[in-house]
Amino acid sequence: MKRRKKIVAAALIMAIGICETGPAVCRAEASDSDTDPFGRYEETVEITSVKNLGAGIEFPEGESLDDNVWTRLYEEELNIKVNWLWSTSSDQYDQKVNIAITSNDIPDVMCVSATQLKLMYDNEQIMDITDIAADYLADYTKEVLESDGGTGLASATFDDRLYAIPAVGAGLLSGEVLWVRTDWLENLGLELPETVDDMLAIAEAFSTQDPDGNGVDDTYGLAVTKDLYGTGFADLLGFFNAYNAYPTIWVNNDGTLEYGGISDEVKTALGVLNEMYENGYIDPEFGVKDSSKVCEDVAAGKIGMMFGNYWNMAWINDAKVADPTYEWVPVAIPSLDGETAGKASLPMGTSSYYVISKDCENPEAVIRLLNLQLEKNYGESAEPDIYNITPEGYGPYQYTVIAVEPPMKNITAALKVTAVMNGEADEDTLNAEEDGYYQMCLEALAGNYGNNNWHQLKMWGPGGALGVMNTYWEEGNYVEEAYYAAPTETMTEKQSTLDKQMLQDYTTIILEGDLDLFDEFVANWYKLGGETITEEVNAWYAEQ
Amino acid sequence: MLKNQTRSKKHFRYLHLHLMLLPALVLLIIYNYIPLVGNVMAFEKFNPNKGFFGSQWIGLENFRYVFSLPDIWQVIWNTFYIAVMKIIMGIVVPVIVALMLNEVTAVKFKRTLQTIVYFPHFLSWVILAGILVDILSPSSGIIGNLFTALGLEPIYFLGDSNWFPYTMVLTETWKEFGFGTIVYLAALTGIDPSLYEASMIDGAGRWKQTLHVTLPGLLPTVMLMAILSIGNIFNAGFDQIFNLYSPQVYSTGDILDTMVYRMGMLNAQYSVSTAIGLFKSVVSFIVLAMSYLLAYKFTDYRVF
Repeated sequence: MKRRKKIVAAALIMAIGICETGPAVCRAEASDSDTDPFGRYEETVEITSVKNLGAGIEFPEGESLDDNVWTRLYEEELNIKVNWLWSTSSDQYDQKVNIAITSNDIPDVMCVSATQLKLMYDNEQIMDITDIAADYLADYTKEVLESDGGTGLASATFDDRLYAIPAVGAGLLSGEVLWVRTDWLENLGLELPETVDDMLAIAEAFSTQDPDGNGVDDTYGLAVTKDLYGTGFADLLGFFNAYNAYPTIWVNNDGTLEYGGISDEVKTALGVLNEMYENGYIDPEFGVKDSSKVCEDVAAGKIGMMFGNYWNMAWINDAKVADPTYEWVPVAIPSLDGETAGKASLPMGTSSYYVISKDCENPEAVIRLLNLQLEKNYGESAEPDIYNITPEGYGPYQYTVIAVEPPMKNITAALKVTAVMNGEADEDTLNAEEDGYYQMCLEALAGNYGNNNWHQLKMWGPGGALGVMNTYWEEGNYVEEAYYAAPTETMTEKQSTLDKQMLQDYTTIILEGDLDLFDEFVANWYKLGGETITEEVNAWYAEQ
Repeated sequence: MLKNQTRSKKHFRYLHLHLMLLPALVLLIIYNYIPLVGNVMAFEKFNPNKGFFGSQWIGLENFRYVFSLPDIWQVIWNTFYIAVMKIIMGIVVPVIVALMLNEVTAVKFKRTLQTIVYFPHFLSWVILAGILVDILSPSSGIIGNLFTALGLEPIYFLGDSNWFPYTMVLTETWKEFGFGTIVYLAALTGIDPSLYEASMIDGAGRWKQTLHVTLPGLLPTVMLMAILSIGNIFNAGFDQIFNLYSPQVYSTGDILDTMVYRMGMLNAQYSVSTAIGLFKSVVSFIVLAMSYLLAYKFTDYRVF
């Protein structure tokens, strides 16, 4: 996850925009009313916050976190001064926040995870912002926050009161695709897979027919890591999805929520995985390899198919540079019966939240910061080349106190870039950020695969992974996380035990093929807390 | 009376030396003693907003919860088993290597060897884990190829739950024995050379000298190191195991610290994590105290 975020961030930074916006449009009319979403304070208001410094965050000469386009804009437009209490790199951020929570040293506004949000709510450390949000949210901000159908806001609501601003995201972006090495397909005279049977036939061919033509039996059909699912790279979630199994989410089955990890479909999929393991279509040593280790094998040309997220090629861009014949194409999750399309499982889109300390004196200032951030980056008066990504390659979007993106932004960008590349639209339909991606795709098409150009083409370009994911959305080929509230009481207590058991038993079944163990696992799962959790989840669902 | 007077005089005379100890003492109190108060968290449903003293007191509930976890005894056994083996190997191997190095007369060769075996100590487990997965791979690793070349079935060191604990002990020993060796080499230089001369006159050869002069001379250091490391009876090495374990070796490789990580860090159950930490400390303390008493009783060894 972290690596993915870093890569996306790096990609955003690298995109070099072209100035195309006209003169800045005036913001909402200045008014003296107290609830103006963009109202300027007469006296300077200070807001304390903390910063998660993403990989690749850089400042132009002479600027810093304390003095940059955003801090100046905050002071100029709102008369708000930002005081950063601390900042840290992404891999430390979560722990630092945990320490802040435990030591009750809470800044005015802070970005936290779902678990941390629940904890802070239980600890009574954060403010009920229902009324402030109702009064101060700008129309566009409201639109963005509700654009995921309201699940983000619902997940930040406790006892009908709003306690955080969800950094709404699209669960769709976590849907998986099947990546296939097409140069191997061509070597063996095979077609892209559409059904599960196609996929299994290709896995067999890739393992047994020497697809790389080096005369050595050193290739495998499907990439698997020791974590099985949840890493996004060489992740089996998409494989389970192909068998209509959704092991990591709660599935709504005619009004009853059921945990996907204990369904019979999972058992079937595990049986197939065991056969693939026995037949040597999977690396026999997958059980000790994490995703970065498996990535080395994929880059070295040992594996021909993998399920994963849309950004997967970012990890192996160098392999493409080293060997231009190396080629991957993303396809949708294969169909089990050849008729109904496979459905991707989608987690809840929102994974982080902005909370306001209960001791914050000007909570409405935080909402104003949010209004300004969304407006200047994506709204009608947006100036993305100043505030989002500059032509010099800086990414001021990372400098803000509070940052929310329109959730479908990446999908929209991919559709627009693809349309331009297919000659269906003009280049000037693209905004600065999208144009950056477009330029990189053109570079890749010209054979210039380095500088991460190739993987951009595999995301945004025609036939790219985001385009495949858009078909999930348009054709309704997805199953969404049905439980989108904070972890229940029993989840907090038992989830780590249950997760361990599940991972351990799944792995054993793949390695040993004992399918009775699955029934045992299900019985244990219920006994070790799963039953109570199921009751809690359904009680929650009944209230919705 | 007279004795007492001279004693206090002596103390007064060395007052400035005692004062020099003060900063270290203050640091120790601030960082090691005051935080002990935080252990009350183990008996509370901790709420940072209410603090250590305002949180709800739930007595032994957290401990009851920990010991009701389905795999807790397996995890405690894994921790204990791996840690004890590491403690033993961590003493035996460095002592043997130090004795052997001590016999090497070519100074340059000795120094080089010492540096080489010391080197892995400086590598972090995050890096070593990546290297070990490759080296220990039964199909493509150096060790696996060696086994194959010798006509043996390669061992799946990291993926076979029977082998995993031993792999942990061996790799930890390989990484750290160089450090221990230096301690014992230093102790060896402290042995009075006249003892060797005397034994030579008595007709002792190299082997007899080692047995009757070197080893007894080394014993106090060995005892000290042993007693210090016995405090690690429940520290099986988080960094190493976290980076090398996988679901297929959970049954023998999951230890208390990795469990605390999954519960405390990922699920934010601080009180429960503290309870496990306190349990570890109490048991380690008891074992440490007992081993010290035994050492005192049988070998008359004292730290103070």
